[in-house]
Amino acid sequence: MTPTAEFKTALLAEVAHLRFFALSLTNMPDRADDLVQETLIKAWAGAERFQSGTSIRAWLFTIMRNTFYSDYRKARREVQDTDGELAAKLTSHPEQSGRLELEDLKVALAQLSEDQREAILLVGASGVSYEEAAAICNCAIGTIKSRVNRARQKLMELMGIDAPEEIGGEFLSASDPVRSFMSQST
Amino acid sequence: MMEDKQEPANPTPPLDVKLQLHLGDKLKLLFAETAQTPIPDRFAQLLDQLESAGVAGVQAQPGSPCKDADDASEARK
Repeated sequence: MTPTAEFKTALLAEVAHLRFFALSLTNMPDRADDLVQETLIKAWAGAERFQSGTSIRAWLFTIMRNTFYSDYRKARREVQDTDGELAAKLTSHPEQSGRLELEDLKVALAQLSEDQREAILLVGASGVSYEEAAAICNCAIGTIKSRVNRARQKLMELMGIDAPEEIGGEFLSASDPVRSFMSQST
Repeated sequence: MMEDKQEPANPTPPLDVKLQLHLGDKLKLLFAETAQTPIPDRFAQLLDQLESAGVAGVQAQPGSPCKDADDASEARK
């Protein structure tokens, strides 16, 4: 495979993650896909700046976030989204039938500060390391860690889960060694 | 509840590991929900175009939202 073809394959493999991050930034599926497109074009134009051996996802997220804050934010303000609408749209494509078990999480996420929501989604949902999240958000690792910790606590409060006993058993799959160990030890 | 304006140096203590696993599962499901939706062909087509025609070729396409691909340099700061 040529370097160009390899780069193309690597970009394509990240599209799902780019769409998710774009959705969490814009809260609007149409704009999210435009933002993905713009990110891919910029990544292609700046391909030589990507350092092989580093995370291409983190690199792409950085481009996307810079693009969003320089270009898209203004447009979003013009639309005058209210917080209530944001809660309903957050990370949900309209064609999807909403999964009920995730609705409480979406509603709770919408109530976090923008910084906390971004941090918990990057680390918890996008599989980005603390170090990478700090680079993406242009802040210190300690800041990301504290945002994630506070986001976790607030999400649990908002979702009404404050003791392990309140968690249904459906998540403790026996096939997972960590979980099966943990359920035995209870 | 303390506001997050100050970003205190001491992070709040982590939750019980089990709670974190539960929340982590839900967050991953949230990504899975987005990942389940079919990826529009426009992205594969875009990358094909970039490969064959380059950035200039794609920017010449009507409807492309990208005006200044050069500012990808900002991303590396």
